[in-house]
Amino acid sequence: MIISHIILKNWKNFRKIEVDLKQRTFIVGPNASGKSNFLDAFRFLRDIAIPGGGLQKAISDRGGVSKMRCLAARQTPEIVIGISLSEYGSKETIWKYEISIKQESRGRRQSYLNYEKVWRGDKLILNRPEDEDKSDKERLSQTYLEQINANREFRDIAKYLEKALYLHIVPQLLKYPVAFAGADLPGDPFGKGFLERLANTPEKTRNIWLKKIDTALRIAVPQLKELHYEDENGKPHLEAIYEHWRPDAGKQREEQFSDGTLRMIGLLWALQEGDGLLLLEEPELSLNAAIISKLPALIYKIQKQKKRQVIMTSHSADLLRDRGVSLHEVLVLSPNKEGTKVEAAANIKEVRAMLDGGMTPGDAILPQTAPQNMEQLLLNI
Amino acid sequence: MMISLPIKLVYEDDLSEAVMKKLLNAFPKKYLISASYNKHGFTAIKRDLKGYNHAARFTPFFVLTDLDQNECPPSLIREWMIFDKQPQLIFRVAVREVESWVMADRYGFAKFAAVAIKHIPDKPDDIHDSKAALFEVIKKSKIKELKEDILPHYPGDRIGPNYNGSLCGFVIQSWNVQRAIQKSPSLKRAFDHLQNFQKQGKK
Repeated sequence: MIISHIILKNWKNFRKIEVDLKQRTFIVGPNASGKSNFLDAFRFLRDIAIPGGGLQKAISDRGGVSKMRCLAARQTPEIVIGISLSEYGSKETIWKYEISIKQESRGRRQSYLNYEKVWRGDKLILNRPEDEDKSDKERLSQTYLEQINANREFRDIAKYLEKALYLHIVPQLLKYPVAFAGADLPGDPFGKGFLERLANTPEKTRNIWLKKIDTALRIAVPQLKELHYEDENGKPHLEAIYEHWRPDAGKQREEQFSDGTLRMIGLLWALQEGDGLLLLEEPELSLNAAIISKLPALIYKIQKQKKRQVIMTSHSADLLRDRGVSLHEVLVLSPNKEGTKVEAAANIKEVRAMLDGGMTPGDAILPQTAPQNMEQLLLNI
Repeated sequence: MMISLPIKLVYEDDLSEAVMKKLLNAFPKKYLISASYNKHGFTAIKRDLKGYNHAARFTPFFVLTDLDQNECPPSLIREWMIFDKQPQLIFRVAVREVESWVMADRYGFAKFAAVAIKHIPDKPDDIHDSKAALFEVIKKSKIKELKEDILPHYPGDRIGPNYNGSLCGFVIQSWNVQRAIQKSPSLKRAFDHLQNFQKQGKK
């Protein structure tokens, strides 16, 4: 399954948007336009659906409704997130799920559901508040999505959302987890527990996935060979042979790997791990342009085998220089007074015209996301 | 022992790169590729050609571009090369696109696409739109994956999501230069040029 459509109202940067999503979707836009907040809408739904999660936890992990609400919001302060689900490669909607969240304006400032709706195809099968909700308002502090007793008819949606994976590897966190104390974040978004994830993967599977990564790394980082997993007194490590100009090649561990190598390993691992929605934050970081330009095709090849949706943010023209990237797959975010607008690049006439004239998607789209007064930067500092 | 010539490649896309590498490999040990410049289209090649020509005073450069809708290779060269060409600059034009060169190995491409050889154009250099001709061949293929990879998915797309990956795979693994030069005169000229390049043992 994939999320084929999303509606956001008053969610962070977005006052009111509605847009189609493809199997592979690229989100581009200026800094602080809401790319990560767009991805966070999917993570929010996942946080509701995962065991041990739920609506209240998902809200409090984000600092409360007031931190989630759009600053441009006026008359309608409730937040709405709605998604449509389709089979991979099909346009037909099989499920729709939509929630609206409000916060009490006084008293405990409790967050509760304004409504929760589920459609199977076109048929509305859940429409809260129901009579019982009206007589017992506490019930509206939880979604049916998070309750096994209540979501039986649409558990497919919960199971699907639960599998969503978000990854934004911060190499320093992976190299020096001990130096970054504090509670681990749900879902390990920044790769701090990446090595534990490796350790918890069955050996056979782990070896198959690492072998694939090793094959890719030998091409991208030719000095690095024989990437493998090592367990040293119960502590998981990644190890590889690093060839240098001296005849005796040395062993290297994760803390000696380059940032680009680690991010590449993380990316290739995440693509293979699981088959749910994969959310990637700037997969191009720390990588050479020649590698970046191959990522869209690489992602396409791996996701196709698993029928898996990948949604990623990017600032990279190199990533979008592949003419195999369709303008229908690129969503352009543009902030304005009324909140950030979202538009498929295919709907922007001048971008289409530039491609007709022989330009690549990256060269046509990315300059549209650059700040307009950059010449002032050097003048004023 | 023969010392390989270090050479740098300049090209429009991944498929051109794969073809150039295969061409150079046809002369074992003669060339050693030391850098690759993917220019993502002809505009940047045209813009930067003067720079590569300058640099060709010190090391050989092999530049490949598509003729596309220009009249003929000599007119394109006249228009682009508004300076004295360095002897170490190898500038070749694929007629009309590198896809024609790829299909020029008719036997190999028919096998790759799993179609009868009669469906592969017999005179690839005479095709007006090489990509469109290639799509026509792939549309006849019974291999679902090939269609998904190569044919455009959405309206307005020029190519499919793994167009380059899939066709590069063919070029690297199966494309036969000897068969291809018999069908494409522009490829044959490029091949001959690479064969004769610095043959007199000039250092």
